Amino acid sequence: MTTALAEMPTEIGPEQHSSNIVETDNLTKWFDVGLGLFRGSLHLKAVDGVTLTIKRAETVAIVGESGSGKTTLGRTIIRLLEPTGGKLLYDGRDITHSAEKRLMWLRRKAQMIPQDPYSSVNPAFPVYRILEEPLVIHKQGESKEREEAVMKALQAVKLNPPTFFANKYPHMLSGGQRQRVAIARSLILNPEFILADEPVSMLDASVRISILRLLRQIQQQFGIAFLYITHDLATAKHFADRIGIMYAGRLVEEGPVGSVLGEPLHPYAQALMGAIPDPDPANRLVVRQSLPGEPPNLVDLPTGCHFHPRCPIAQMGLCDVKDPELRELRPGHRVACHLAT
Amino acid sequence: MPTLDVKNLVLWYRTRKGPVHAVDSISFALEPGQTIALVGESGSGKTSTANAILRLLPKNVLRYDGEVEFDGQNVMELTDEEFRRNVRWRGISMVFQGAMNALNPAVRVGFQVAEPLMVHYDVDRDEAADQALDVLRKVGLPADIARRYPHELSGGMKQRVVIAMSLILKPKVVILDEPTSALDVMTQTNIINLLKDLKNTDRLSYIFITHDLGLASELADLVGIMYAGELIEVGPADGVFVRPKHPYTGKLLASVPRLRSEEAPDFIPGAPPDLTAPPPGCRFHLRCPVSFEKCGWSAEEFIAQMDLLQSSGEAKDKVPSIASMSAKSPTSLLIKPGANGSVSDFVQKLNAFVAATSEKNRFLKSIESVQGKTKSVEVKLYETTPPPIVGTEWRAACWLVTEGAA
Amino acid sequence: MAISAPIGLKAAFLEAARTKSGLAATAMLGFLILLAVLVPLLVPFDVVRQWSNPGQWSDNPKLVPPEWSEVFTGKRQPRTVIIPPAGQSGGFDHVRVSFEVQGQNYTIVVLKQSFDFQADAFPSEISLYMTTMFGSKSPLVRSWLTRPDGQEVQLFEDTPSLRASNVSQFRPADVITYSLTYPSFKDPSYQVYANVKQWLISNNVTTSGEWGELFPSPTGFYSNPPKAQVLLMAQLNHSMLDPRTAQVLKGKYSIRFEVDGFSSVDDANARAVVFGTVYGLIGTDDQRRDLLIALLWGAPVALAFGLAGALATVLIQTLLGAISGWYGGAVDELVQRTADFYLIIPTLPILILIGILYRPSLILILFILVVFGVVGATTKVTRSIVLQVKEEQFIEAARSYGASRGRILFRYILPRVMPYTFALIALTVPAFIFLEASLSFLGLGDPNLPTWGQLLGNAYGAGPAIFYTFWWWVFFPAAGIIFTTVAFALLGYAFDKVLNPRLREQ
Repeated sequence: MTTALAEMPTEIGPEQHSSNIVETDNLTKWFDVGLGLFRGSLHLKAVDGVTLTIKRAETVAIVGESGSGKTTLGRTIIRLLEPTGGKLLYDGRDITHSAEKRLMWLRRKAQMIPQDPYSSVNPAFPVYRILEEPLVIHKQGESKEREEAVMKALQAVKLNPPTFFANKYPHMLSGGQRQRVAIARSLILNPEFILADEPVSMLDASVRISILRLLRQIQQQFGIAFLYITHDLATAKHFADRIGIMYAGRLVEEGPVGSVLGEPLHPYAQALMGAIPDPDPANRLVVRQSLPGEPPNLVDLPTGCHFHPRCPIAQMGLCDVKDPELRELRPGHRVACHLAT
Repeated sequence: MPTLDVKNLVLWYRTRKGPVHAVDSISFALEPGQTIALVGESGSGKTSTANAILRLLPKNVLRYDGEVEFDGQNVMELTDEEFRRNVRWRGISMVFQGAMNALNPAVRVGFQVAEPLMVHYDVDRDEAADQALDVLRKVGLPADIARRYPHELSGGMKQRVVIAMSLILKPKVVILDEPTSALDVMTQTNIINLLKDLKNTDRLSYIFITHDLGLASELADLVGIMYAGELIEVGPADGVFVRPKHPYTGKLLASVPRLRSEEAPDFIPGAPPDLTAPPPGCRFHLRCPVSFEKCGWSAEEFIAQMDLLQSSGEAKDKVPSIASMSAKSPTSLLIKPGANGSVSDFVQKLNAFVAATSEKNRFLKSIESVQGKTKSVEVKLYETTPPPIVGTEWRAACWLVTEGAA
Repeated sequence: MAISAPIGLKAAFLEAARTKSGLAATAMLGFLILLAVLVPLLVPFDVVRQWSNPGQWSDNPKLVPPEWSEVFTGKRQPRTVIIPPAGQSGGFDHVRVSFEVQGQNYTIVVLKQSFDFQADAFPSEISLYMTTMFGSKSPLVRSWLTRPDGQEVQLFEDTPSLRASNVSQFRPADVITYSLTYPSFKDPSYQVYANVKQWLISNNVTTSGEWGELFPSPTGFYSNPPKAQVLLMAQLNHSMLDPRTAQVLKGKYSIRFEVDGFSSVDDANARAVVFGTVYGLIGTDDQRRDLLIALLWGAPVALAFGLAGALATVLIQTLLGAISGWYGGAVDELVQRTADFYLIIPTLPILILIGILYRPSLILILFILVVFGVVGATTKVTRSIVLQVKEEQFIEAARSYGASRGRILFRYILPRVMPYTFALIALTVPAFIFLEASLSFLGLGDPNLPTWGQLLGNAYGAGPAIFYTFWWWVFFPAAGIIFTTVAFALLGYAFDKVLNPRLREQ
């Protein structure tokens, strides 16, 4: 298609190497919500100032409930959406406002794995074609080389024998197998960075673990950095190196998994941890602590700290006025709360 | 006397592919105020069990029998009309999966809650409205919510409305099918707290259906583990969660990623079986880490497992070379050795392979005898029957479980 | 969840073919396609091009039912008998004598031939044709019919003024037609009635007075006299005066012409056609055209017209709908509002207007219908499918691995739309066929091409009062239209069953 040709990169920049594959500085993504022809518009502040770094070959989990902005954050970081403000650096290069047609190199180095196994891969294509597409688009290799790459990718995701799976259509595969195909597709271009947006939340519990293990193994084998977006703290604990907790468009706590989950310092993080049950028969005898109210509407956010209306330790005059900054309270472990120590 | 006593409940469907054994002889009993959690993977038959108890049957039912004693009376003997009038919603009600999305968007919430009263009891509107407000208050919603429409409410509020609807006729048993699956963690906790509260104040019994063991432990006094339509373990929560008897329960518990411990979760290889053709013997044997000769390997399953070993990368070299295999009977198969091996050679190699790897490849344990014939080798497998259900209060269906085992 | 619904066109087609309606549709369409392919080979297009040329059909009886319909009447119906000109096999015997008397040249030509008539019903018509060659003076032509019972009846006499240059060629331009059945009262052949009257009176079959009642003056209104061929070929008794009671005289009949010429070069040739009451497999229309040809050719024309129109409109609409849904924004607005505008336009009245003013050819009709069909319901349907598919996660994933918007639209989204498009094409074909049939029925279609709608229109135009008596002219084209429509509708229904999840049994 001539349109595809027209979008090929016109410049291939000099390879820069930074130890941080992704850096964001006060990244924002606001959406315009029109109220009609004469009433102006409001801003839906899905991402409202996120500062985050992701190192090479590390897995960072972003955990948040629905409406926290985590999905938007992921999409903005790989530039499926253009940031409204702040800065976004990939491997040291500023891609905050780069034009789409100049980002083909990014489309090779950064990939994504979608959430829904029933629509994450093209149901009309056989697995072989699904995996070959990215290679074709980026004009990688000849037919023979592509075939090899496809088989290798299938082996990497443990769909053996690869020749058996290559000719299948998605509807012939189980949910777990489809997600493996989606993962294989994300690997085929040898990326450095993969956005995994709730990759297992729609799979059966028993399949989830095997997929997450596979991702971990892939990360170690190929040295790929992962941004793992989820609402499930427990899986984040076992499969991420660092974790960031999002609330209403902002990171409220961030740091190494052991530190954050072992000692949550932000009141929201503490409440979140307290609200998730492990299988323990004693649970039925106690009332579990939880927060009152609901997460705020992203169009109409509270002033100052977005969490203050629900916070058990909020101080009026401070928390409702001043935006809290992320402060490093433990090694590598930052918290955005005026009162945490 | 138990409020609900289910004995050998069976529900089979007729489908184009054959009969589906959705519920295959389930038994459990609930005392007043006791909660049982029915836990299992998707397709294990949990929702079908609920439908079977409430007699919400589709048109293609093949078999539906057993005994369901509610307050001492076997309600399976009632006609459909009697069941509808006296048992369904009045004695036993249900919160369906995704119910909060099935609220009628065009009708005010208060009216939807009051409707069962007006339909079942022929109560007049004002009286019904009062009772609806009562139950809405009980589930923690403010009185003015009755005038709102569903789309004006948050997820948590909608779920409380649905719970109110299930309580309006003051049932003794409420079946909850994944009541919190679409909700945020905080909202989930609030709903579970509400359910705990109601359980205590109203002496309600719950049948709590979920795939999440953590959630199950929040409410369950009894735990029932379902697999492929069967209740493979049922017993007190204190026992099942801590020292499960059935290998599947053990695997299931090990697969839960825990927030408060460092143990990495383990996964269960394979997938649940096709309910149109449940495996002979124990239904879990294909994926069981400790299956052995009694567990019911069939010749076809054996061949399939052998095939998998041959083609998967790791064991390829160690498996003795095979030209072809065919099942002679459900428990015997013929193997033609490949690559110029003599028959006796092959028999030797196979026995060595079995001795070396049968702990890892459990299906090999089902071999009873290996006999060399002229051109092929006959492998006989152990005959078997489904495992018995061992125990009284705490039962598990597994050959490894013996009476009184702790 | 539509996991089990087939996604590709091929898969959808295979599954549709397995349903009952799919099987029926395949069989019916297979038959139509076979017909459409074979017909141009069996019946060359030249024949069809002569559809409006009366000369091509002049030897067929007028408005007669198919031959096999004689079963319904219980009587053996006569087939058309053609006696070719002299010189052709079976033709008239030609005897010519030229002589001179007292310096005046005379030529006498006698043409004679006989035919055997065994049917139980009378011929529908008898027509005689002649060419004559002569010098300065026209010859005298006389003709007789000799009956099996020996009776000879004079038919007419004439001095033709039309001179041929060569009588053996029997060129149409040189031929004079003497219709015994439909003469106007100025034709020489009109004499046959006077001659028959004489003959009957002399045989005491009727009286002058009775005859006068049967044959009021030619300008009288309510004349429905027995036709010449009935009187000439009936058994000689009083019952012959009423066509309902007349009985056929079976046996050998003989036609004789005598031409008296007045020069040495005079010559003549003749041809006779005794028209049957049945013809062919499907009968004839009022222009004597063999309806089988029209019926057979109607198939490829209907299919071609329907498919061309359906393909063009559905594909264009699908493309527009897909682009509209995928790119959104201003493009979407433009296409949608255009579609709304089109939905308001009254297509049929405009078409009728154009038809009245321009009497367009079939190709032009097709073109106009396509222009009016460029945006429509399909556009909106496709757009909603595309909007739905657009939300699926593999589309977003495709953008993340660098697929361009155009690539996604054409390679990922459109193939999903194709099965629906196919079903829509199947359902649109009959709409086009019907539209063409309606236009033709109203007399606004292509007058030169025999489509099924044309036939129905012509049948209606031939006289509404007798619309119901010539069933063969109406039944078969209608059956053709209905058959084709049902075939496509079944195909569309089979597809719908496959694609519409609610209709699937699960």
